[in-house]
Amino acid sequence: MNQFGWFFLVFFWSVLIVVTAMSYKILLSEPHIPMEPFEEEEENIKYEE
Amino acid sequence: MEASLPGLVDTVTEKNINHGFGFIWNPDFSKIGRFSIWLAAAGQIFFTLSLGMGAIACYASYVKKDDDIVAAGITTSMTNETCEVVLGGSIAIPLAVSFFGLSAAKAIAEGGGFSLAFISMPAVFSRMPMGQFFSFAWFGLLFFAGITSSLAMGQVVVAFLEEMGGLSRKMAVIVAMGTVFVLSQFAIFGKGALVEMDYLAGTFGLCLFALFEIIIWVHFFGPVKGWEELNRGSKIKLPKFILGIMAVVSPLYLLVVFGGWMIQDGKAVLLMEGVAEDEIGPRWIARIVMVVMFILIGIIASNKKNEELDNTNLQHKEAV
Repeated sequence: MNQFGWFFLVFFWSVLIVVTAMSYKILLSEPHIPMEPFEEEEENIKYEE
Repeated sequence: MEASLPGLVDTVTEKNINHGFGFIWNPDFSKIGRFSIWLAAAGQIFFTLSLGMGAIACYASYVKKDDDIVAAGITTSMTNETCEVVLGGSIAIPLAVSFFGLSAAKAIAEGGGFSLAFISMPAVFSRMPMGQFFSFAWFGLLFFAGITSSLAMGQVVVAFLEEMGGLSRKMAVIVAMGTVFVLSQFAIFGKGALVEMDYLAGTFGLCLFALFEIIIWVHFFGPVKGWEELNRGSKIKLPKFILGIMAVVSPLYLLVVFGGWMIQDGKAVLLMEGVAEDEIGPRWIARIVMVVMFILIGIIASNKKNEELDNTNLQHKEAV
């Protein structure tokens, strides 16, 4: 593998691993959204319209 | 070759691994001016993130009004890319190069993902200790990857037939799955038909429909309204230039890639230059079948639209 290959490998692996870890940290810090019954879902759609 | 651990270690030497990683990571700058590469890369991104096809519409329908789609979107795309680039990219192609050597692996990779999954990996497993177990795990996971994506894509077709075609759910499922069964026969028995369908739907079609989606989003939904929807309930505040990328750069980029591809490769692909003689017939049949399917979908959708317009006019007349 040449030096460009190593550069791309290290760069992409680092970005992907760091951003994935950060996004999980943010996503998991949010409160769990409970499942709602279908009636409320329909109301939600009506509200959207 | 006898499946044994020393045999495996002999094959997967540091030098071979280095060649394998080099094969996937060493950039070939001479190819950067080829629009077919850019089209293939864009197609791969859209395919892997389920953009430009029905699956994303299915997933989006489960999102509630104030759900954080920025965090969920970044997490999903990054997890997917990490698994593919860091894990997947470190296994399939480098292993194929390690086992078969550079030239044979190149030939396999040129055959596309199907050759890699169904030719190179079984050959690798046959030379590994506990190869049967790993082979079972590989194809088992591949099956689950396929069936879960098929559910998301199938749901959109079923919903379309129900809502636009006026069919019952049961009938819509029978029609959708029956069509998939019949069309898959072309892919199985027509030499080259699968490659043609994969290219038309999985590369060209995805980029084309992604372009349509972006244009519809910009002109009918509106970037400002879209930006509000995107940021509502989101913990991560996106920088404003992302809006410019979405509304201006993305459609322009896709238009340039399409235009460049048409000039460089459009004629050769359309006339199937360089395609083996025995593949031309099945490939044309695959093309015609896909175009007919596309026209049929258009007819069903336009009939429904006309019906709705007639109903609206009728209600209007009654009110008058």
